[in-house]
Amino acid sequence: MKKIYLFCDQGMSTSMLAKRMQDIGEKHNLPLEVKAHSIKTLEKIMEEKNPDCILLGPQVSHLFDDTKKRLENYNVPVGVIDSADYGMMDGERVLKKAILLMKNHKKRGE
Amino acid sequence: MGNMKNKGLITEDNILIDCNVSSKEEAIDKLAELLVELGAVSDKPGFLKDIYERESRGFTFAGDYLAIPHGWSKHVVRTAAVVLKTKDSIVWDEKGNLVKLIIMFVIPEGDEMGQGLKMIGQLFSSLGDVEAVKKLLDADTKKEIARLICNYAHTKSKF
Repeated sequence: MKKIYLFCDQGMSTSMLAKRMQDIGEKHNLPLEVKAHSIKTLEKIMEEKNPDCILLGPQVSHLFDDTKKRLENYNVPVGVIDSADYGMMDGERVLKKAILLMKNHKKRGE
Repeated sequence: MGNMKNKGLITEDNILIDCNVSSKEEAIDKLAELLVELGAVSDKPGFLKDIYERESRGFTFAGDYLAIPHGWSKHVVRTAAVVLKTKDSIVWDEKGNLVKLIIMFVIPEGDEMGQGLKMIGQLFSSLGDVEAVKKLLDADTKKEIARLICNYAHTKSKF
């Protein structure tokens, strides 16, 4: 089970996209858990859930560097959701990019 | 908070339908007015400033004629959600996206873990389903909209 977690201010707007990604994953029988959270809860979620991929909503893209720093001690890839994909609520594209992000992260680790 | 638990997240009092608005600003103003009437917002001008700060960062258009303007604000007294359905679609953003259904939620500053927020989170998760949004767009009474939203807000998440 791969955990892909989306973060924005409150984890509200991203929860719609998370649901779409989850549904796409289920359609393709992928063992995924896609959830949305508030960026304020980042460390707590990391400790409790140990996610495999962190995606920031484009509305909090200015927090990317800060988030990378906060995740320094965790071995987890971090990305920003493409604003066009987000605007279209395109769960499939965002999911594909997340899977690629995890693959590249794993490769770099080897 | 107790109040919200008893009455549910959204009652017919939180919903405006057949609204004759021609712009996003007009719609947001009507919603802010309603939030003041409901006692969820204490200071309308201050609150509007915070809402537009969030709007300036974009991405409150959620596809399928739905917009979800929102924000934390010190001018918010309690977590609340309000709904506005327009008579005709309005332009929401600089990309020209059209909107007929607006769901605005507001959260008091510092209350990001509240119970009401959990329900709103569940509501938006449910709205990730295109069919769920369609049903809301098709609903033409306050009663039906309130019923649908309460259902969505109480759908148990799989995880």
